[in-house]
Amino acid sequence: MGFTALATIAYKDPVKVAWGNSIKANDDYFNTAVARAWADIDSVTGGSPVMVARHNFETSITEAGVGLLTLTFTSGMTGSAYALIGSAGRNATNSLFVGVQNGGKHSGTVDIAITDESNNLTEYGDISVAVFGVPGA
Amino acid sequence: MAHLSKIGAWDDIDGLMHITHFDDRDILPGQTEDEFIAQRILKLKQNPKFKDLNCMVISRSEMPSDTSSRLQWSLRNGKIIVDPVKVAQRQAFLVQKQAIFSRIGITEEEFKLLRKK
Repeated sequence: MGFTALATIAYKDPVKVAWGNSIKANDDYFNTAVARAWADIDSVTGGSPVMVARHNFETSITEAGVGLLTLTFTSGMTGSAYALIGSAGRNATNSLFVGVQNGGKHSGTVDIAITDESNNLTEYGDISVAVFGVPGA
Repeated sequence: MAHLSKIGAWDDIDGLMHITHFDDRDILPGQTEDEFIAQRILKLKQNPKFKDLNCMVISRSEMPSDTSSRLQWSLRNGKIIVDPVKVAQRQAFLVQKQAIFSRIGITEEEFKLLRKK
C-alpha cells in the first residue's frame, strides 16, 4: 500500500496523534505539516522540462519562456495561501534560485521562476520544489 | 515516461509563447490522448494567465529545435516560427543596450558585478 493511501486513511481517522507538547487531530497534521506536493524537474537546459519524480503534481509542464514554468497540482490547494520552497543546482558561474513568480500562486497551478544571482531568468536542470498548505476541498 | 508527440502552444498578448509539454504518465486507462490533452488545457485555463488565451495543439515537430530564440517565437498557421518582427525588436533592444553601456563607459559584465555589490 502506498504512502498516499495510508495518509488518506489516517486523515479520515478520528484518532488523535501526539504532536510536540500538544495533541492535534490527524487531519491538522496531514493538512499542513506534510508537503502537499513536491517535484523533481530536470532537462530544462536547452530542452523540454521533464518531471523526473513528483507527488501531487501532474507530469505535464508548461514553459512560459526562459526559466518560467507552470506546474499543475493533481489535487489543488485552498486558494493561494500556501508555501513553496524551491532549489536549483548551481551552474558553473552562478548560484540559482527557484521561487514563485509574482502573482503566480493559484489553487490549481503554480508559476515558478528560476533566476540567477542577477535576477535574470535562466534555464537549468535539477529543480526541486515542495508545497505546504491546506488542500482544496 | 515520455512527452507526447503533441504540444500546446499558447500565444500570449505580451508576446511570449507558452509551451505545454504533455506527458503520457498521467493518461488514465481508457482515456484517449486527445481527451487527456483537452483536460490538461481546461485545468490550465483556471490559471488567470491562461484564462483568455487560445491553446493550439500542434505536433512537437513544429517546434524549433533551437531554443536559443525562444523569446522570438510566434505561432503561424499551426507552426512555431522564429518571428522576424520579434527578432528585429530584440536586435534593436540589444543595440540600444550596448549604446547605453558605451555612453556610461562600462561593460554589461561590469554593470552586473556592480549591481551585485
